[in-house]
Amino acid sequence: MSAVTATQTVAAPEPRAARTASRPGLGVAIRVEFSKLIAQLPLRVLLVFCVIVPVVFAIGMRVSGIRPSDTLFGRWAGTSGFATSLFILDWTAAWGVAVGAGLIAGDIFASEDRLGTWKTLLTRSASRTQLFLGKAIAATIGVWLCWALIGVVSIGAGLAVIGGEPLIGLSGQLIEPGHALGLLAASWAIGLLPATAFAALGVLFSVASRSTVVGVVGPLLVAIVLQGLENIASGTIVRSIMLFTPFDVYHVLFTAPVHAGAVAQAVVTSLVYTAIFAAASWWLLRRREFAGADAVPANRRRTFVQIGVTVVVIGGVLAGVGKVGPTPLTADNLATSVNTTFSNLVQVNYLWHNGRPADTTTPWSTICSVGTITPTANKGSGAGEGWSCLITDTRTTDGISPIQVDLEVRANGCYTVQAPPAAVGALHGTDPKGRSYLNPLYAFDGCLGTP
Amino acid sequence: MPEDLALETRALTKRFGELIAVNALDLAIAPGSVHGLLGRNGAGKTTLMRMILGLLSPDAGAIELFGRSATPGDVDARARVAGFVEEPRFYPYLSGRRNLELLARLDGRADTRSPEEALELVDLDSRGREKVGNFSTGMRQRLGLAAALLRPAELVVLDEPTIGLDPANARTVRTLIGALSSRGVAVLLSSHNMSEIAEICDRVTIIHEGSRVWEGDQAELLAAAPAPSYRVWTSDDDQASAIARRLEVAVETPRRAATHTITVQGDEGERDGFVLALAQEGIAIRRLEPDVPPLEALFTSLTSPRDADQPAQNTDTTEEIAA
Repeated sequence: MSAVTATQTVAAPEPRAARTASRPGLGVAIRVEFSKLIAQLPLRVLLVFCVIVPVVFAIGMRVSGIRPSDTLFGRWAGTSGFATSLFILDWTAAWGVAVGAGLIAGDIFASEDRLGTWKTLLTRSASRTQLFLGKAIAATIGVWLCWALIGVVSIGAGLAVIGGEPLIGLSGQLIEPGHALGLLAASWAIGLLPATAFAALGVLFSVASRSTVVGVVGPLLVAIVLQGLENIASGTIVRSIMLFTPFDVYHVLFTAPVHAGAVAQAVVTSLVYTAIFAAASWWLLRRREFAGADAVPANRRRTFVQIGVTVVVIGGVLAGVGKVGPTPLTADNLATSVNTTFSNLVQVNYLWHNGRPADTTTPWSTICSVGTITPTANKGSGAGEGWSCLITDTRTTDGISPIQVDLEVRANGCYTVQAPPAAVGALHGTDPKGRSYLNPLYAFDGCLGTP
Repeated sequence: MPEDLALETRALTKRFGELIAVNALDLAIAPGSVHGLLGRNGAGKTTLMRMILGLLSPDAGAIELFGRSATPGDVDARARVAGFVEEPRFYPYLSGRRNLELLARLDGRADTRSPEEALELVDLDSRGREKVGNFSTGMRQRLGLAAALLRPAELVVLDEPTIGLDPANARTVRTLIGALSSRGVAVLLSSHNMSEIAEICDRVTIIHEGSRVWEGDQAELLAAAPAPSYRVWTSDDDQASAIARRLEVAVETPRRAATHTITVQGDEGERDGFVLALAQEGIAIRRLEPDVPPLEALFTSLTSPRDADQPAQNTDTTEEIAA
């Protein structure tokens, strides 16, 4: 086009009376940011992974005899499709969310610094508030999308590849497929709340550091610290404020009875973290000066150090006080839970072995202790591997000899029981049709219902 | 009642730690004028433009846009302002057209120009579907101009808009700026290209170390500029050079070409005297051309370190323009 043409085609400004200042709606800002997000490779790759990983895992469980029995529901991941999905939920909560929040939310603000496009954005009519909300909400939607996709695909893949067998709950109860599906959907839905908090954390890293590297790695660093704390902090106070605790709350849905209070607390914790991270991000962005690329590196280095020190200090403090205050991991609570779980699993084992429910219920009583067990009273508290429980048939006649089981109790209120094969039978049993099944009493998991 | 100024800054100041980037700067731009901003690197031009566009908060002073106070976060006050500072940046993973589409959406108004129109204005319509990551510097520069032209702004702020452009595209941009001005759009333009500023700007402000050291229109520029110097080629350069030295109009300059030896500087009378002296000695002038354009001479004299303390020559242009 020639210069002359350019002159001719520049339109005259409209009459002043017709001009009004206008702003885009928040919806526009969200759509613009999401359009940018979805056009980038990381989110596309992440979405592909969200589809592929559950399918590959389900197929792996189907064709392989190895079971990840060190994880809740892992030992049933090759037996029930619901357990397959729950195992993936556990893994996604532990690491997947941190990776997703880093790749999506951790980059959504920092990428503007990396590309030098803040000045392009901020010279349009959208306010900083709109741009902030647009980016934060788009990032959250991205994280939700990944979470929902991996949830739906894991349920679908689990049911299609493994099958819809009833699920063994965390109190040893047998959960019928319809009910299990509902609980599974609720578990994935509840996970959206802490996932939102992680997205907000990614946003905070992104805004504060102005660095894609810090934004992406930051949430993962926090997840590693939280995983460490997850194994240490058994005190109610610290657990109630830990960002990771809400991810564990789905456990209560699979215990009997359900402790709804834990769900409410998880909701509050997630919302408080989301609000704190979002408010801090907004405060930082609002007061930021866009002075040009030359002013950024010094701030970035300083911020990187500040963030690292903050994470380490907070993690150290939480680790130090992790066992302070009351804990639900008491011998009394454990004995009650183990007794219920064992009792239920005896019924399940009978059903699977005989093809029909037991006519009578054996009355059991359990005593638990850390270290040497005393048959008279519960003793001890806290997480660890040194727990033993003595499970006794309380019938006065025809009673079974007491069974001593070893427990590993985790700080999140769940435990794994290893029972002696001499007392509960071999790893595999046989049903009336001669088919092999996994003996639910051989080793089992349970939760107190208070994450 | 006088029309509102498109832009007025009063005692605008910005500090970065100890550095005063912009120091109590007054600036006024009338609608439809093209205002050039000159200064050495680091003089404060871009910082000033960033404050006008709302990217930086002033530490003191005020910005008014079309008679309305424009505080840093006030996007409504800047609804009639467009432009860019430094090299325009876009999303490299999107096409030029898609970049403009998204930016237009963020303007949130119905009267934006379509991306196709904007691309056509800067001669990028045939490359609009390519990813910006593949664009050359010049293409990104033109895309920046297209982004500024998306909305019908009445003040366009352009930071070195022709840098990186080939002569033909630079000409297109200059023509565009002229067209905007002729339709009542005020343009604030920074450039290191003196001839460009002299060609398209109605008024010029020279900034040195954050302060305005000169402001005026083209006529005032010619009046304020130091006596112009000329390069002279004659039939006898050695004798002509001796005459120039005798008349004290010779300027010592490094030898730039084998055929050129003389540079003279003086007012009109001194130059006439030199030419007549050459004629009396039978020396023919074969070629004569300005050595330093007036604007460059003025710029150099005002912004060279030895003149850093020189006060601004005209201090209240705001009232002058408003009147």
